Order: sequence, then structure tokens, then C-alpha cells
Amino acid sequence: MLTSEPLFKLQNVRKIYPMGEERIVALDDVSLEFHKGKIYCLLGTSGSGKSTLLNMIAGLEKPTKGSILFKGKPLEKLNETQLALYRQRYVGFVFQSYNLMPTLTALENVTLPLTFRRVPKKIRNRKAQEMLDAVGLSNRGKHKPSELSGGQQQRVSIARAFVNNPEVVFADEPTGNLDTRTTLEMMDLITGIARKYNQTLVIVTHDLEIADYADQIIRIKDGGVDGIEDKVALKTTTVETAEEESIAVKTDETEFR
Amino acid sequence: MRTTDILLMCLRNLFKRKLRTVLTMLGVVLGTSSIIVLVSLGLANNLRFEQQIATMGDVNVITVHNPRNMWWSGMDDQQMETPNLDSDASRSFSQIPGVGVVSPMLRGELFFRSGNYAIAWGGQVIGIDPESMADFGYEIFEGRLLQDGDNLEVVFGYNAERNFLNTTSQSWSNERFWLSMIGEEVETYVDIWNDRITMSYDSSFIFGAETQDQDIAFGDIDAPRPIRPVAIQVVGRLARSEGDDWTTDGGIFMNIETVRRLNNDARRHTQENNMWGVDVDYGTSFINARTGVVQDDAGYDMILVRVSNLDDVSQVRQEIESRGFPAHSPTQWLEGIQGMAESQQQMLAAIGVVSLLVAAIGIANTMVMSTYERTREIGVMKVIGAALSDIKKLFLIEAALIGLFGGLIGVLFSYLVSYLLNTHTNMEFMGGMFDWIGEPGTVVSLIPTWLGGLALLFSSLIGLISGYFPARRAMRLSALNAIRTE
Ligand SMILES: Nc1ncnc2c1ncn2[C@@H]1O[C@H](COP(=O)(O)OP(=O)(O)OP(=O)(O)O)[C@@H](O)[C@H]1O
Ligand SMILES: [Mg+2]
Repeated sequence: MLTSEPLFKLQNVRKIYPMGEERIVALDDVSLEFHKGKIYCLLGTSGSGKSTLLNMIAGLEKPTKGSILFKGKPLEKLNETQLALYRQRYVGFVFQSYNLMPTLTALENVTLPLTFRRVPKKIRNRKAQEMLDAVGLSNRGKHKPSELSGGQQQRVSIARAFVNNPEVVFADEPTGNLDTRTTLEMMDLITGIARKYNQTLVIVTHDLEIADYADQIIRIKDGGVDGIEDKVALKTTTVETAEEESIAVKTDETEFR
Repeated sequence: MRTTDILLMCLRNLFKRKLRTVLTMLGVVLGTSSIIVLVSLGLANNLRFEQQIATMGDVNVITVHNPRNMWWSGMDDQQMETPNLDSDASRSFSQIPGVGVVSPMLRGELFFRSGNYAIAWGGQVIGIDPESMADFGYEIFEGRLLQDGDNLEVVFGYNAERNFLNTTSQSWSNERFWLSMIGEEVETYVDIWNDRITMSYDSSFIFGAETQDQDIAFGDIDAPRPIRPVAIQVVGRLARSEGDDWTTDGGIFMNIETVRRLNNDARRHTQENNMWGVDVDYGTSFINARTGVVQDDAGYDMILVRVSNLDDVSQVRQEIESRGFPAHSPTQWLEGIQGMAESQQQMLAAIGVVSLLVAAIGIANTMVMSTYERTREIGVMKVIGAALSDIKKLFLIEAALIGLFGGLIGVLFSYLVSYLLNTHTNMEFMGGMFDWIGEPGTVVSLIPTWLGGLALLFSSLIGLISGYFPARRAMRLSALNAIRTE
């Protein structure tokens, strides 16, 4: 159905944790594709291996076996320094527990990924303020995380994940600590931004309501793929993004090594 | 990350943990200030030595005496074995490493007269190699120094002209010279530039009329043939010597060759006329024990050896002594004291180094604690795109800043301690050793700018080194494990 090269292509990925004598197989022979501009949901019960999968695509962990291709390049071959660069350039991350820097203000937290990229202060402050506006925290920039509610903190963390204009944003149970109403607000926000900028979004959850936001639901069970559900929405977005996608891949590839 | 961003973030982290930062810095403050103060004591000590040495005139000069001058009676076999301080010895001294110039000196027993005034004794004639005068720091006040080819041209020491005394007076005390040496205004009787001055090795001419025809009767004995005095010309007067060396200020300088000739003439003359058995000072000449004939001697009274570097003086002196010549240097007695002070300084410096080491461990400990505490933060930073080098820099620079600020406070504190020491220390505290300098403004502690700067650099460096392992630990933390810890 999709002829262009996928953003991520997982080939027979296996992850084994040695635990003393025992070996825990967290993932077993997973082959998947993730395409640009789509929203994916990894759905599964606790301990099924969702986080493990996400972390490997995010370059935080290496597969024991198999390959994870990012734009055709194997991530598992990169060293620590290259992985850091990969995350800096292409990846945004939303945590369940927000993980904001307690010493920095909301605005400074949002600027952090830009700071790592050596973006001058003026520009990064402007961009961060735009992101704060987008998540509805225009006048909270000067506040420390401790002065914000959980929902507000998660908004800051979403702003931080998107400020870099990443190609892909990973969210590991982003609403796990929030009530239902806030969860829906957060999902609207995060998918809204991702769709607006044609960014790929991979969300880990065990909540079916959240899975509803996705273009494709990937069911994980006992370390394996239990089923893939395409939503109707997927087909419509596919057609209109297929062309610009191939252009973006070309320009970006020259940058990434 | 940009350097300014790293610096700002480090400062923020330090400021957030104020108490711990201050406590860690305290170690650095104590370490640096103890080193600075100790070094400052040493520097001041050295300065005092230098001041002392400066009051002593030319401290690089070793005076070597002729061992044969110790013998007053006739030459025997034992004396023949005693090395002679002659031109061979002079040449051998000049080959000792560290030696700059060597100048032989010969004292002359000569008498001067101008009208009714005479220098009968007290005024010492010093025969010197004219070429070496400038090398030995003789400075001219009026006229010029001696030069090659001078014969009856002489240079007077600064106060030498005040040794002229009235021959008709009964008092032969030359207190006028000593008064002038302590700075009293004493008029001179003789205008050395314009008055006619005559000289002879025979003292008889100064007691009577200036005629060679005058007979001096010595009872039954044939009168000795009086020596005709010669006119000399004063070509220069030396500037006052450093440290008021009276042999220089009261000396009359002549070409060493002239002095040698006159001394040999004097010996012959004395021998010819010494028929009544008076014991005579033969100086460096000797009487052959068998023949009883006075022989000319090629030896010198002294050789001045100028050593280029003050540090070599002691070594050169010992070398000369080992060759059988009595030698001494003005700073000889200081050597022991200085050695003692040096070992004291080294011990104090060691204490300082140990305290800095303790401070370094303090920084390392703080930084390691910090990596434990901030594990999660480090992990998050890594996940959201911090480069490994940035993580490392954040910790390294934070540690260096602790060192730098600690050092800065340490330097300021040291200046305070130094000031208090200088204003409140009685010099007797130093064992009364330097009491005799007694100069106001003598310093106990001295902190030059370079010492402060060096201390700052050093303390920052120590911070940097202490931060190295914690920084590496932070850099190598697994991002995943870090964000998992709760
Ligand atoms: N670092 C590790 N060492 C050993 N075993 C691990 C490690 N990380 C995960 N596992 C194991 O791998 C399996 C999958 O874990 P994972 O965290 O991916 O589950 P999950 O689907 O994210 O669960 P949850 O919904 O509770 O977060 C589990 O059995 C877990 O115990
Ligand atoms: Mg999980």
C-alpha cells in the first residue's frame, strides 16, 4: 500500500535481558514499519514489552538481535555519541512522569533541546514561547515545575518534545498520571501538533481510549506483535503526504550521518 | 551547548546547593590560602636575605689569601710545599666553572707626601689589574679608573685623601678619616687634583725635608742611601663603596705591576740596609734559608675571584679551599641560615600541598554525590538530546568553578592574613635572627601578583582534575537506567 521508504523499519528485532541464570525475552522477532506523519499506538498489557520496543526505536537501547533501520540506516550500529546526535536532531520524548528540570523555569525547560543544539538564546526563547503558547501556557514561562500542576507540567514537557521540530515524538504512557478529562486534552494537544507539522508520533499505552487517536494500533503481547489495526483516517492522510515525504527524506539524509 | 550556556547552568547548580558549594569551597579556600601564605613567608624571607646581602657590598666576590703570607720568618722546606698565590693559581681559579673574572691584588707598603702632609700609614696601597677594576664593581666618582699602561697614575678611594696628616703635628691618629667614614664633613688638607704628591717605599722622606741629599744618621752604622721619592698623578677618585668598605674607601689603587716592582725594590733596599737585625715584614718575598738572600716573588697578597652567579659562590669557595688556599666570601655565614630557612619552607610547602589535596578530595566527593543526586536529570538530558561531551563539560566546569571561586576567596583571605602578619608581627618572633636589620617596613609575608594568579590557576586546575572522574561517571550513565530510577 505504501511504496515509499518507511521512517523506521524493524526487522526481526529480539531483546533478551539476562537475569542471572534466567534470560528474559522482552521482545521476540518483531518486524514493524513506521511511516512519516502517522500516529502509532503500542497497545498491550503490563510487561508485554511496549516500553522496551519504544526505547529501542528511540536509540536508548540496542536490540539483542535484528535490525532497526532509521531512514534505511541501522540504529544499532551507532555509538553513544552518534545516538545522542540522532536524538538531538530527530527525536522528541514525552515521559509519563514529565521529567522536567527542577532548577529551570518552564520556558528554560522548553528551550533545553535547542540549547543542546547551540541555538542562540534569542531564537530559542522565541521558539519556546511559541510552543508554550501552543500548549496553552503563555503566561507560565517564568514558573518552576514545582509551581505547576501535573497537567501543566506535562504540557511543558510536550512543548519541550516538539520545540525541536523533530521527525518523531515518542510518548511512553504520557497520560498515565493524569485524570480522564486532562488525558483527553493532552491527547488532543499532542496529536494536534503532530498532525499539523506532519510528524510521526508513537504512543505507548494500555488505554483503549487513547488508542483511538492513532492511525494504527499495534497490539503487543508477550514480546510479540499480536495484531495491527489500521484506522480509516490512515488511508486519507497517506495519500496526501506520500509525495512530500519522499522529498523530506532526501534532504534530511544528507544531514544525518 | 554554547560555553555561556554551560557556564550559566553550572552556576545555577552551584547556587542551588549553596551550603554544600560553600562547604566544598571552604576546603579550597583553606588549601590555597595556606599555600599562598606559606609561599609568601618564604618570599619575604628571601627578600630579607637579599636586603641583607645588598648591604654587604659585592657578595659575588671571593677573597683568596696567599697561604705563604702566614709565614713571617725565613722560608723553609715546609713553606716551599705551601702553594703560592701566583699567576698560575690565578689562571687555575679562572677555569673553575662559574667563575667570571679573577683579579690578583698586591698590597704595597708605600708612603705619600704633599707639602707638610703625609700618608704614613692607614692609607693602604692596593695593586690591582687595571683591566679588572670595572668588573669588580669599582665605580668612579671623579676622573677615571685605572687603565692598562698606568704606572705612577693612581686612583684614590672615596675618603683616602683624608688620610693625609700634618707631619709637624704630634698626633698620628687618623680620626679624620674615620669621622669622614661615618659621614662627618671633614675638610681635606690636600687637593689631590692639583697639589704635587710624591711617593716612596722609604718612609724616611716624609719626616724631613724633601731632599734626597739629607743624611740620616744611624749611630755608628753607615747611613742607608735615601730613596728619591717620585711624583704620582691622581687620575681618579672612586665613588663611595657599597657597605662602606673602609679598605676600598681608604685605599689608593695602582697598577699591580708597579706595586710589585716597588715591593721588590723595597725588599732589596731593606735587606741592604737592615744590618741591625730588626725583624722586617717581608710580605710575599722570602729569604732563601741557605743563602739568606731576599728573592723576588711572583706571588700576590690576594686574588679576588668574582663568581657570576651568587648560587655558585659557596661551591667555588670550597673548590679553592680544597686547593690549599684560604678563601672567604661575604655571605659565607649566611649559607647555614639560608639552608635552614629553605628546609623550613619546603616543609611548610608540603603542608600546603597536603591541604590542597584534601580540598581536591572534597571537590571530587561533592561532584560524585552530585552525579548520584542528579542521575535522573542526567538521564533526561541525554534522552532529550544532550551530547556526551556536554554532560561531561557540565560536571567538569562545575568542579573547576568550585576550585576557581575557592581559590579566589583563598587569595583574598591570604592578602588579609598577609596584611595582619606584616602589621602585627614582631620581628623577634623570627627568633630575633634579623633584629639587627631593624628597618621599618621589613616584611614578614609578601604576595606578588603572580603568586595570586598562580594560586587561582592552580585551584581551578585542581577543581578540574577532581571533577574528571565524576564527570566521566555522569557521561557514562545509561540514560535508560537513569530515567528509570525513582
Ligand atoms: N532492564 C531490564 N532488565 C531485565 N528485565 C527487563 C528490563 N527491562 C524490562 N525488562 C523485562 O522485559 C519485559 C518487558 O518490559 P517493558 O518495560 O517493556 O514492559 P511494558 O510493556 O512497558 O510494561 P508496562 O506497561 O508495565 O510499562 C518485562 O518482563 C520486564 O521485566
Ligand atoms: Mg512501560
